Amino acid sequence: MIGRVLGLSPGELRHATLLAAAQLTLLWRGQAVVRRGRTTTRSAFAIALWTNLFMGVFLPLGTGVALPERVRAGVWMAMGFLMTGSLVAGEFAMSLLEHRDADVLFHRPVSSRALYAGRLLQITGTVLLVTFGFFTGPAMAGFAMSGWNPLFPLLYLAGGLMQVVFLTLAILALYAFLARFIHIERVKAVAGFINAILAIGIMMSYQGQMLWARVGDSLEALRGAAWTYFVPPAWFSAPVEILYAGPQSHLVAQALIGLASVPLMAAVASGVLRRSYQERLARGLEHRRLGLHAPRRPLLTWAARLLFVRRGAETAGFELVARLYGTGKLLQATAIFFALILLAVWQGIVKDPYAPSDDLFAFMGTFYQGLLCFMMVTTAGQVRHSPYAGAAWILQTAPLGRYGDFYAGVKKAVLALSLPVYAGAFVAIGLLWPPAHALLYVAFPVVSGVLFLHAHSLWDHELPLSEEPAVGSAGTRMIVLILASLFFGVAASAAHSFAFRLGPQVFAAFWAALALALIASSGFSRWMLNRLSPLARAPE
Amino acid sequence: MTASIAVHELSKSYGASLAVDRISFTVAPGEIVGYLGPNGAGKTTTLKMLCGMLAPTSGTAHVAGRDIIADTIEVKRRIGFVPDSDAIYEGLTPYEFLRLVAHLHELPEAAAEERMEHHLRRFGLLDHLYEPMSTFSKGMKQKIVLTSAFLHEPEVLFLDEPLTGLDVNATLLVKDTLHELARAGRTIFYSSHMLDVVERVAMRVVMIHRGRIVLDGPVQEVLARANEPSLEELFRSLTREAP
Repeated sequence: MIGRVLGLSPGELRHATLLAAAQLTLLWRGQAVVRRGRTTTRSAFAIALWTNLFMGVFLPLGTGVALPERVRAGVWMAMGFLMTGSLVAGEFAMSLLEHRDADVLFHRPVSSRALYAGRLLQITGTVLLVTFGFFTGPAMAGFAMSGWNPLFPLLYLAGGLMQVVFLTLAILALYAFLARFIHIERVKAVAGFINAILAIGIMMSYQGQMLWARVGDSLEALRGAAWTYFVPPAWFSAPVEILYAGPQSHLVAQALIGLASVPLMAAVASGVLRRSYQERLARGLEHRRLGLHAPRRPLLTWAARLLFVRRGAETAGFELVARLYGTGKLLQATAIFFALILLAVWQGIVKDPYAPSDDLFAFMGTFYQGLLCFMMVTTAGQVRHSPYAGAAWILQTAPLGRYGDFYAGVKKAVLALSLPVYAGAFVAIGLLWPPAHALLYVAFPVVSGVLFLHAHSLWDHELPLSEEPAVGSAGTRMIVLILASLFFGVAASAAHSFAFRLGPQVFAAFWAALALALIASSGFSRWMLNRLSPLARAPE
Repeated sequence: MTASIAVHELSKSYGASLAVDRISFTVAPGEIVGYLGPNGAGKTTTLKMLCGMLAPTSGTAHVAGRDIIADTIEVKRRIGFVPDSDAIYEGLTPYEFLRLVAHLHELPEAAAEERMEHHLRRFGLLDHLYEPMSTFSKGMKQKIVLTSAFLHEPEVLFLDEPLTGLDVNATLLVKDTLHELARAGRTIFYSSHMLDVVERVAMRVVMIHRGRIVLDGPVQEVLARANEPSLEELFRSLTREAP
């Protein structure tokens, strides 16, 4: 019966059920077959954490509190769902849309339809888990507050379930649609950017909170107005509101819209997802047929050529770091960092240090620029503290006579990985400042950052990727790095701003000195690293 | 003929603990030598010293005619190494990993890809070329490590438990490959606990116990000399601890 509805043969249904059951069981234990499952579990727990954060504003829903409060609560809730939902859906989309399922199909006797159905069952199971994690606490609290009316938790959980399903499906459909045109990692980076804007801009900044408060107040007079028909949280809280306010027509209408919206969104998401999924599978299988000469990461190759990676050892250093750190979390971190800069400038926390002003906040611009100056050094620290420490034997047994060349490749990779952040910062700041000021503000951290990177490579000249990741930020090296970034980075940035204020001649001389220092440090660090090479001699 | 490996009075101590105690032996080109010993005997320490990963405390050693201390880089250019762990850069695909190894050895791209394809096809891994190695089984990773050791066609191969995690077919394939390499004049220094495999693969065995060489000779000869039916029995009699 179920198989017929889903269009699966009994064998396919059995495969799908077994796959989903295995996935869910392992997901629960945090050891999913698909590695992404572990992250999904963490996301589910993150949602539970959000529950605690939102309890205070969520409880007034449907308990006779003034509408603005409920609107605000609804908006906060929607944002919470959007953020956490985008994380969860992103992880699902990764499982569904990356080539890994092509691998499963290639090597296992499972049809693509069975795999697809299994994945959907997996999503459904996790959504249920998330819903109960999210809503059970408030439902029980509301149950007590409503005088133990059993309808409250029932309607509340039903509305909550529909809301989570609706938003997850909507985000999943969006991911699936975008993934047809953009790599899924980049889609996630966009989601990370939006999350950062939402989380920091709206929830933490004073102006953001005031904005939403004003929205709430101004909506007091709009009870039952047209806008409420377009806001999903209003649809899904309508059943609980009916419990208290009675079956008013606008509430009933909203509840019905909510009821219809879920299957509608499921149909849309399913259609988009199925198409993207099958396209990705086809592409994944095509990769296998292409054999050795399949095109690989052309962007990275282009970046390598752009940065003039010359010799074998230098290429090895570049490719090792760029390929290990070039995607995934780093991309998301870049997006979040970009969002932070945009937000800081937009909020007036960071002000143009090259504009004539006595504003105290202009100093914050210099301070922030100082942190940008040291960003590459902290990235290099991440490369050193690597989860791949056990694989250091590969470099230890390689004939790396000119270790400086290898490390030069590592440094170029760090620069290449950092460039999107600087480019993003330039675009973000350029929207609000004069473009020349934005360029100056970003160019100085790039140039001085490379200078700092050369200095850092001499201090931290042991093999990259050779130490277990430091636990927390308690490591002495990390503390030294943070202090150095605060001191040297901010000092350099302050000197740059000061030179700017002293006039064009002084400023030009400052940049000329900087360029000379850069050239000298590049040659010197390469020469010193060749001499210091931990690989040219066996360790004691 | 110059020995591929010549070790003379080589020692390594970690503080007060003597891991390798004045060992000496030579290995001729094209020879497959099984290096045996119980846990903690000093096998891995010896291999690490000969591969330039660890400095000896005293003594000398030459690999492929080069001094392992004075000419470490030239030694590393001429050796291939397979460690006893399957730790590799799992975030990379086999293609990326093997390209990295090729770059480290400064191999021409075309030659590297040709050899990569040849070895991976033999190991049945060509279809997995673009998959992240994090999804690989231990045996699959071991095949990639073996491929990386063969890639630059080294004169001397140091193998530390190379068959760990491999299935029967892959084990047979590795054994055949080792014989082919030996016939082509490559030297193979093979450290293992799998005595039955060593007995069939190696031409000669060197046994280390408590940091000292306790046996050195062709397999059949040492068995006959000790009047033991197999390497396992010989190993047991030589390494048996006093009650």
